[in-house]
Amino acid sequence: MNGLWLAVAVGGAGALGALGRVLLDDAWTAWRARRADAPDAPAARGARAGRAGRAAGPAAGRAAGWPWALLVVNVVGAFVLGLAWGLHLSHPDWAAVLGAGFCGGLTTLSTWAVAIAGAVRERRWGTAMSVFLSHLLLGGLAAWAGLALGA
Amino acid sequence: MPSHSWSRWTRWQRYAAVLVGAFLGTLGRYGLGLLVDGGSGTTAGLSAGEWITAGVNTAGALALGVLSGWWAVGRGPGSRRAWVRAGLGPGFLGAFTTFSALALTLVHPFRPLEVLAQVVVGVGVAWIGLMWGRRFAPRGETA
Repeated sequence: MNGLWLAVAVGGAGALGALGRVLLDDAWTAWRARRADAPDAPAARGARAGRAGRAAGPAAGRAAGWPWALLVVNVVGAFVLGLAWGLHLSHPDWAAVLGAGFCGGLTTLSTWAVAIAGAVRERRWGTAMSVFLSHLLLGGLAAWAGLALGA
Repeated sequence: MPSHSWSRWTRWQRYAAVLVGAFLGTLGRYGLGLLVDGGSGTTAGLSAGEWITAGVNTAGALALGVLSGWWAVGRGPGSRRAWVRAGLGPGFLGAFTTFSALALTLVHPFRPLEVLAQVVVGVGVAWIGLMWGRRFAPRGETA
């Protein structure tokens, strides 16, 4: 591949990865919304009790829930990148498309950092710590597993 | 508007914006990485490419912090248009920054302190951006 086509392939792979991340997040958000809308759902009861009991304005992050979709894409992306490294892909172009492109676009740090910072701002320390630690532990474990599997 | 009540048209607009934004974000990160391609040696435990990733992630976390701060108070670019928010946030900045490379830095070889430092800085700048953005928001879109 010449440089221009390689760049297009890397960017395209990143775009697909990012679209996958957004689609999963949308699906997770929609599933949560459906559950909250169901009249006898525990989430709805909790939300009503929360609204009644909290006078100091709703916490936006709490309403969005724990960012599961973000954890899934980051762990999967870390595993795939580890696997790609472990396999020593025969062509460096494929490593760039799969690694810098797809895995780079699928996974994200900015949303993760803002999710933790938002939880800190709202003094939801448990959420901040669990989001912080889960990505590091499971992401590191997934990258290591990918490397080991590919080696 | 709650996200689950978006129209089909709004959804397609958002997905198109994510594709375009993420294409550019990925190219930006990849292009910056090419600048140091072939560089050898490490500084403070990180290779030149890993320093680029650290810089990209820090800049992206700060930018998303500011944007999220603006959007939280209904201001800034995309305050009324979901597709602009999707293109800039999860699209461009989401793809510009990356977690997978950081996970690899953590385990290959095992460098917990280098990674922890990057994440603490990333969360710190995101928090600063969030607070600054909420405090100093530009006027919202009128359209």
